[in-house]
Amino acid sequence: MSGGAGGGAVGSAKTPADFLKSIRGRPVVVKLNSGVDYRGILACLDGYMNIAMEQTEEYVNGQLKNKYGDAFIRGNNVLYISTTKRTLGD
Amino acid sequence: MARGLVSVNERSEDGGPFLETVNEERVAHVQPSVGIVLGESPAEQPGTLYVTTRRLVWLSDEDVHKGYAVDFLSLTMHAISRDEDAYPQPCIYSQIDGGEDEDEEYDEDGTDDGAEEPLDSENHGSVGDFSYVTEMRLVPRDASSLDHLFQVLCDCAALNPDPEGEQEGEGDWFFNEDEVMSNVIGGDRVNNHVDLAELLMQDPRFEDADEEESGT
Repeated sequence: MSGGAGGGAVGSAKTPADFLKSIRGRPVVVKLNSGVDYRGILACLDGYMNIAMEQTEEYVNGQLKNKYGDAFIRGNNVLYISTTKRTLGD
Repeated sequence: MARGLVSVNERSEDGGPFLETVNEERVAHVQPSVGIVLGESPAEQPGTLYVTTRRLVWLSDEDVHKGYAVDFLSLTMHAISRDEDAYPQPCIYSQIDGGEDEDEEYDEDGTDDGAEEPLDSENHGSVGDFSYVTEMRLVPRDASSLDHLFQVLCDCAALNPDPEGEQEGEGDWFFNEDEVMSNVIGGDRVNNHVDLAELLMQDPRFEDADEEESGT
């Protein structure tokens, strides 16, 4: 399966819930309503889109601003979660 | 609703914060010897961190009238920070939503938001509006406690979903399987047939009305 979000699996019924189960442990981009990006490895998330991730990097206006280990992001601020290809250590 | 950071000026007889029993607030974790950093200000320490099922409360060990609290509804994120470029000591880094539009400079009644709110005894002496604080670090003297502290914050944050969610199902996904499969919501496109004429809407009923009529 490619790293793109959705769309790539021919013939299988992919629901949003399936997508979220399939991306655990993968590098993801989480974009907040504020426009801030968090990139890291998705550890887990719940039905409120609360997100826990590891090796987290925070990008503001496309620029790396901070690096964290484990991070927790409150779901009501999340605009979207997307998978991504990571060139570092993937 | 997100209130942001507030100051806490009174504490209960056991030295801990007053708990809001109407919310069944309980203390989940107590971490002694913690410094607190608000924004770019210098660290305030030493203090004791109380993680409750509703809030983070930091109470100064030296000044019994000094403390801060932020509810989980206001905590947009928290993380373990070991990046020495960001802060020299390992700490919990968090971002706080003050509940106001960042461009807003005025209270709801239109007055300048620079002044502190008056003493309100119903809030157990909570005064001071620190809703302008958007970043907070918690620096435990014992850095090995960070992982556990982070997890406690995750657990307690998860106990505090928004009371009026934008989604009606409280986190449930709404989707119609048929719609997904027929490409209305991004399903497999291969078998979808598009009727171009229909798309162009040649139906004369949808033409603009003539404007030559008088009166209306």
